[in-house]
Amino acid sequence: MMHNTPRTFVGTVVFRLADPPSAEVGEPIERHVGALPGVSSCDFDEAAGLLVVTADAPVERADVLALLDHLGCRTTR
Amino acid sequence: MTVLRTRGVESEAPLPFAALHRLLRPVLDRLDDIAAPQAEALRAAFGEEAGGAGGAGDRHLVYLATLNLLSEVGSDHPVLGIVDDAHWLDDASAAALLFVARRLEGEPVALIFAIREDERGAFDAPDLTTLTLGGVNAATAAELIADQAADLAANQAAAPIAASVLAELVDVTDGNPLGLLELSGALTPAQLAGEQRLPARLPLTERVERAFLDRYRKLDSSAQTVLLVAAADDSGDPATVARAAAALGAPEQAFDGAEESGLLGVSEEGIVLRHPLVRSAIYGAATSSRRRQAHRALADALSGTVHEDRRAWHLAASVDGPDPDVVTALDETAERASRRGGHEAAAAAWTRAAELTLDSHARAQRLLAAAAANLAAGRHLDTELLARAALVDADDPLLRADLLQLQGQVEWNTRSLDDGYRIVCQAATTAAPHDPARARILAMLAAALASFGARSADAPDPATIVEAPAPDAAPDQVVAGHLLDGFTAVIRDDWAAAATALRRAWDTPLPPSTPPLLHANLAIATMHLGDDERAIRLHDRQLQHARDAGAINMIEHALTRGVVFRIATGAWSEAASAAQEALLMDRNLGLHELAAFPLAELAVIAALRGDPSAPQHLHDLDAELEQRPAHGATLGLVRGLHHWAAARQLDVTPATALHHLQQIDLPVARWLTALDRIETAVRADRPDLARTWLDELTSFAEGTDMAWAWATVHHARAVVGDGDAEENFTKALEWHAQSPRLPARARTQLALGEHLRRHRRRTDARVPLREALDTFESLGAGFWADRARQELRASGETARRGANLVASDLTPQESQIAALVRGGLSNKDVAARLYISPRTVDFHLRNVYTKLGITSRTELAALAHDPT
Repeated sequence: MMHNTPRTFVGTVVFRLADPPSAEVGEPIERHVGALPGVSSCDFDEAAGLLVVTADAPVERADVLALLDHLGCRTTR
Repeated sequence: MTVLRTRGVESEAPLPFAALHRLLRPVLDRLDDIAAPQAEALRAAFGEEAGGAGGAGDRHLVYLATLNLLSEVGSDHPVLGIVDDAHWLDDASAAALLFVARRLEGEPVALIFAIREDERGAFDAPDLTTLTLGGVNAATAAELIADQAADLAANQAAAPIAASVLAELVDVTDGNPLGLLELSGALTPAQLAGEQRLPARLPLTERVERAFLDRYRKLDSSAQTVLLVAAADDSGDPATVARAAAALGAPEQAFDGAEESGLLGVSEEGIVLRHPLVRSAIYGAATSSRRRQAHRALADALSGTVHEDRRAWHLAASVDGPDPDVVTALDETAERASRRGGHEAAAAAWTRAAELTLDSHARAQRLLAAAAANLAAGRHLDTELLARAALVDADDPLLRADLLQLQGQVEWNTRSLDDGYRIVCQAATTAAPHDPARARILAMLAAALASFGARSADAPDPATIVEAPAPDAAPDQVVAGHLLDGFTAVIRDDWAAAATALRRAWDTPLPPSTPPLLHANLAIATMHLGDDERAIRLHDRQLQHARDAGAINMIEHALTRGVVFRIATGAWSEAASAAQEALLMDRNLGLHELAAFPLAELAVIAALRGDPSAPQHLHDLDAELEQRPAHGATLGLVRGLHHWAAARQLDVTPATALHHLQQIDLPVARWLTALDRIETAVRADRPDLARTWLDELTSFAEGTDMAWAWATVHHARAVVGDGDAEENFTKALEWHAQSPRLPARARTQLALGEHLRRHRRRTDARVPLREALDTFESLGAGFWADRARQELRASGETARRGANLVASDLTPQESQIAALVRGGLSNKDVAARLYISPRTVDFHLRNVYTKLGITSRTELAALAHDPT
């Protein structure tokens, strides 16, 4: 699959953030990702460097990644 | 020379071993020349045969098959394998090819991987020799551009190129030939002549993509459709692409337009895009709904063909939300991949299926399957991410227990034994109200971890999690109950209860269907009592099953655990050989996190023998622990063995030795080292400590009634001056007669001989001293044999000269191979055992012959000792 192959999801997906951002950055990440249509909750686990995104309606994975990229966070595979 | 080719394809669905299949396809007719289980594993991996019983599901057999097949083909003509775009290889192919690349020693086989610098991918091989390709210089660049211009002269006027433009083109492309051609091809004659400004600077990849895209946009819409479908396709099959493009309204003639643009070609190999960047440019420029349409059309075009896995992945890319049919197709793909040993591919398909599943319970079940497949592939981090995601959804307690068990396993394998233990306790507690049988197995597992040193303030006592099984419960439940009792008694230092419970567990007959987890814990439990004979029997059986199934982790586990007991019984050659095999396996297969345990065992064996190599072995262990600190389930054992080996170096003072021995806290390791600890405490003038440790050992002997323990107690009583020494030694020898621990027996014989000789009973002394000398010589314990010989001389006997041991400076791999060949194994069998090819075995064996000054296997077999 290409990195931009369409990939919608429901349920929970955990993203591992490279160079985990600090807690101050965590709040805007949760706010912005949490505001994506379909996303029902978004929790940033600072200690583990993980972003836990739960969707109750389909969300495009690329939209989450683009938003994180915009906020200056890289994810690792 | 035989040249084999493959390449990674960015759009390729996670099909396991797809790229490897393309590489080996021309030589698959030679599969019958390699060992049958390997050939079968490779056929199963390529989907040509159902992964049957045996080791077909084990990926390491696939790796070994690849190595040996290339080696066989190389025996006719040298083989060159070319792997282009290695950064886009499917994970399974990348792992197999890296495995091969790392063991091409002595093979007429070479592999070349091409990787794009700016592409992050699964292909991570900093250890391979790297050649960084520089660009061409300005003169060559000018020639290349002129050649291309001449080729295109029919439809484009050849323009002269200004020196400043040429310099800039070389500069921005770093002399990359493709970049030069594509950029110069995209410039207008005025830009080339330097009369107009060049476009704004962009990174090279983006510039080239833009150049391709400019060409694409000039085409009519049906040619564009053909190109988009070809970009989304990963089969290269013209018929499939044509059918899919037709479904999207592109007539057959649209191919002509696409071909004329030069972006796509049709050859014998099928549809080939001009360059991978054509694919990323065209695909990236399409809207997501266009991409979905293309994938849907491709899925429909593949319907009813053998390409079910490709179809499933195209379907998955074609939907914009949950879809039960797509999920079913992905489930089937995952199951097929799993049967072929493609664990990464199975994990990917189950993960994708979960993302498209609306029902939260079903979703969590798929994530559990994906996490388990990742664990089988050794991908611990991914296992954890998926288990964590699944736990958000999973309400069902038994499903949660399964997920927690996986999480715990990752934790105790890779990080903290204590946290792993806490999580397994949580799993058991979660399952307990709903499925006591399941909870009992989990509680038993938790207790086993605790008996090897795991502790957590947040965890309940595993013994309180679930009630004892009913007397008429199934045998596996009865055994789990006894094991649980036994392990928890070990934690309380209640040795009588531990011995009773563990013996009941061992004595309960089990049906063949008993889960491996229970067998593994029955075997490991023998360590607590030092029940060597049972331990060796159970671990050897486990090893046999593991070898039959080609189950790598289990082979390693059984080998290293078996070594501990062989250290105790004095089967030191076998122990060293098994530890060496485990170590080579860890290194050859990249399981470096497991290497400390066999290294510690080798260090102890060398130290117990008083071998001149003992300091080197200890140094190797120190270096390993510095790089990767001991962790996980073997932490306590590795620490114990490490301190034991350090204390038994020839040049350490009693105080230093005692300092090491005092740090051994795991009971298993305390019993193994009991006599050394008590003797050293006395020599270091710490009779109080010697007394405490003797009391501890006495209560163990009283509780368990193990013969070796009583023998050690009596020997130690003589050492601390408790009662009559001769009487104590004699009693110790009576117990030794019932124990398989030969080194301990010989030490008591030596101590008795020394005692008698000091009391001027020289004739009486000779009997035990001769017995001790015989044993030490047969164990290859040079230091101890020397001591016995000195005592014998002092007792007036002209001692025999020791057997002549010649160190021959073999590398570990060479001495391992020599030992296995001496054991009667063929080169092929040695190769399979050590995960190398028969040719590499031959290569090392020839070195062994040279170093030992011999010329044949017969001479090697006739040597008195394993060469080292």
